Amino acid sequence: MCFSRYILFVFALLAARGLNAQSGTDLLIERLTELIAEELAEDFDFSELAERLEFYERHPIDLNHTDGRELRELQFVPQLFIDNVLEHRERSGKFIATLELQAIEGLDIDVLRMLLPYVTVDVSRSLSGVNARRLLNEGTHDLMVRYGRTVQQRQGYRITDTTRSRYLGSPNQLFARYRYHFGPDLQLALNMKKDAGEGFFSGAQRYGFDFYSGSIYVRNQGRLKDAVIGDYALQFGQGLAMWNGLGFGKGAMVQGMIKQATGLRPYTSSNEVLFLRGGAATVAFGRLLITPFFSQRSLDGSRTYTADGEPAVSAIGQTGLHRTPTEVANRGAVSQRVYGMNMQYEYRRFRLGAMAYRTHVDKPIQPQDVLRNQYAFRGRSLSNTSVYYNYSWRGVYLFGEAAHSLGSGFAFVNGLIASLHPHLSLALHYRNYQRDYHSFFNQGVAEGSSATNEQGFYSGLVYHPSRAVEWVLYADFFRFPWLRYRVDAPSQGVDVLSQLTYTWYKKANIAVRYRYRQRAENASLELPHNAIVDVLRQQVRIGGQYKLNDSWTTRARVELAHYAKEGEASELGWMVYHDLIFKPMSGRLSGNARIALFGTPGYNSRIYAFENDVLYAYSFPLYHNNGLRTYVNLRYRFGRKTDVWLRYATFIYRGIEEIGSGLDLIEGNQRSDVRIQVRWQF
Amino acid sequence: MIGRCLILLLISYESLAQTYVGPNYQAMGFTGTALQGIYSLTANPAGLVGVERLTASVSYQHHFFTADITTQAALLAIPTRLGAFGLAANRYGLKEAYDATKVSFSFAKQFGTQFSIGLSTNYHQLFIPNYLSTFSLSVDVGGQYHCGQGTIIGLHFSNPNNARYGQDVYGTIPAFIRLGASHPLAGVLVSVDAVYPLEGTLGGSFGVEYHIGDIVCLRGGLSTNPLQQHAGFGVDWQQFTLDAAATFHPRLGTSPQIGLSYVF
Repeated sequence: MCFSRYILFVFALLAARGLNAQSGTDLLIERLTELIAEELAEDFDFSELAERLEFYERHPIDLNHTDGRELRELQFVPQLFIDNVLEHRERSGKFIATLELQAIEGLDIDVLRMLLPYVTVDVSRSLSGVNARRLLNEGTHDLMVRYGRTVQQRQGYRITDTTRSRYLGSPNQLFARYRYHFGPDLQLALNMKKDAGEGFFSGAQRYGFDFYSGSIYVRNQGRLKDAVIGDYALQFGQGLAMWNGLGFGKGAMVQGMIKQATGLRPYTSSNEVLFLRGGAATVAFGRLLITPFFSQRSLDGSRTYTADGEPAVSAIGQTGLHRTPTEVANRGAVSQRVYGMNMQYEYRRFRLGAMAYRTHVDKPIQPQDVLRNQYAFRGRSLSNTSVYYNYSWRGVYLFGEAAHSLGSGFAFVNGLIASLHPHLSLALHYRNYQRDYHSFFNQGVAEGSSATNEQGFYSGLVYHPSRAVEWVLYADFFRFPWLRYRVDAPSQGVDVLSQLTYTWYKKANIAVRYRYRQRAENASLELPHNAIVDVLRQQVRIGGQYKLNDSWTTRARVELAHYAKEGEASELGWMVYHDLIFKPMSGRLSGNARIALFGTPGYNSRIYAFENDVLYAYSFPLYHNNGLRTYVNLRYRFGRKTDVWLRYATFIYRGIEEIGSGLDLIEGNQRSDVRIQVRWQF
Repeated sequence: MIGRCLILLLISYESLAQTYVGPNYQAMGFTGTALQGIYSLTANPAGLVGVERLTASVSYQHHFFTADITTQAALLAIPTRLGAFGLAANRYGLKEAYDATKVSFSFAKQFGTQFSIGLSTNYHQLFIPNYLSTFSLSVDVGGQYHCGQGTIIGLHFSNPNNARYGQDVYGTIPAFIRLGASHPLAGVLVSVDAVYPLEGTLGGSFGVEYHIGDIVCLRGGLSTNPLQQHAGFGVDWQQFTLDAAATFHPRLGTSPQIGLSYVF
């Protein structure tokens, strides 16, 4: 054992230089988020994960001290592997080098390579004995300001008639972000945001920005594992009862089906809805972790009245936009109070948790009175309970959760990931969410927009015949027992994906993907009776990247999207892009650029593609109509402390005279956005 | 009764649904073209050369749980020095309403170490009380090739002469070509089939078998046209093998099957 460790150590020293060269943050985010992006708003904020990854790059996780939580936060490391790491440490003693991870089962070499920049061995840590002066002198400050704007004027800014809907603020977007870190265990975070169209020190935003968010976070101080005052996110179990912040679902990484709960975390994203505000802490009593939490915050809601004339809300707002008089009027319409407790017991490879919490809103929630809402939540308060587990044994990882909203329905998830053979892994995932299951913070894996009114079975396989080849196949069959938006009958559907990737070590890769989706929707034809018909979507994607040299990489993709709905003309959309990425090992300037051509006959055959952006900003814009897309991102480092990013992106469409509709309408055939971002670290 | 007949018509419309497949292949998504064993009598007859001792099997399948549509099958495989002989009989139908019986006689022979060929002659009888009784004959041919490392490629042509019951009878004898491949990894068997029905669209299926120890194995699969999921398990106990399988049709529901075979 000692000898082999020594060899590993030498190998580590030799290899560390090459392996540490480049962080795969962008690549990781793309892989983790691509399939959910289609269900989210175009500018959904993925920065939380980017920030977390970057943080762990600067403060790598100590393999000799972690209890697994930090590794879980990275979101791409399977729990099975984390358990193996902890067991390895217990059995063979402390790690000497990070490359020892290669000897541990449960992680592909590709993913291991992605993990290496985020881990280290042996760094000392403790906040005890730290005084205020040291906090000020030795901590790191990070201030970032971002400005963005659409160059062309949208319709909403032109309207001056005060009786009409219009944008009350300016088209500028402003985002400011401050972080203070003292080592890996103390963090102060502050986010401030103004969206395009929102006021700034005017109107409803008389205190400046439209959205403020902040938190103080301490962890790993004796019994106190985590504590947050301010905005925080809770993630427990499989997300059926309580999950804030970003969650992932189905993706080309099969382990995405397992929700890797990170427990209590400070909330640092700029999304304005998915978080709690107040205080929470996780305290350890031996193997038991107890997390009490309390939150009080206001949320947007569409105002309405009950039959008795009492004020109520019909739906809680999800966008966080306050640009028009209506949006401003709905701002903070509801006050929400949440309190509860989570308990989790951990013993080696086994975790069992239980949670209970209560959500109370000051105005009753009263969704629109239509048949599809028959089982939706109504009222002022809701109590939720949940029990969850996960366990790993040899090559098998089992997980599940059962959640119940008191007085209404249940939701269940159970699944496993098993490595049947060193080259073959299998994932199975069964979900059953009753139509009357309710939770305000439910983000279980689902085909629909929330984990309710759905049953499904997912099976996936990953086959690695060699290091160079990876083949992923999954099939997800699902059923909606009750009506849904635009589907006026119980319905069912299928989602099948197959992807083959070939990688030339450190040089290039190519991936071919086919995805087939079938769902039901209301027939668009005028029929004597209401009927639902099948909607089929097929996607073919061929993409790859090639590393020209140490500084230059090119990337290209061809994608076809086919849409067919009974009674409608089918659509075939296409998109081709080419990216050029410049990232020298040293040097102040780096950047990337894209040119893309696309043609889609309609909105239904739209194509989504991941775009690079300034740091911490990512986008998945949709490409539709005929035209050209191009963007350039540049980053320049002024010394060690200051970075500046610039972005220019534009869509030029062919054959149309206006872009968008309603208040977003732009006259002409071009939409361009500029963004500038500055960061100081001191 | 009308409802049941309706379901039956619905199923028979997809001509492949009438093809009976043994429980272990059913659990692996109907992939059997490149697999071997007694149940090759219900798939590629060339796979019969994998039977080393006299083997008998009976199985029972329920179609779509709630309906009384069932299949019963009895199989016998006799390996000899000349080659492997097989006898198979299966009956598909609804009690006192519809009855399709198939009896086949098969022969498979190994040529050298890598190649085998199989041939089946089949007698089909269709009986609908107070309406119709008719019969027909068809053949199946198949071949398997061992590529090394346990990989097998198989080709199976069912009913190449496109035999029918007659012009005026609503009942088909499916005619199709299947191309399959199987590959063993330690403890795992992966199998893929592509099927081209002479009347219909190209389909595919995929299956995995995973052995847990020497006694139990788990199976799963996926097949298209229509898209269905499959699962099952097998238990070996002394000379007996019990196989259970289920196919999950997204609209029509679950079709379970059990089979018991005995090696003399």
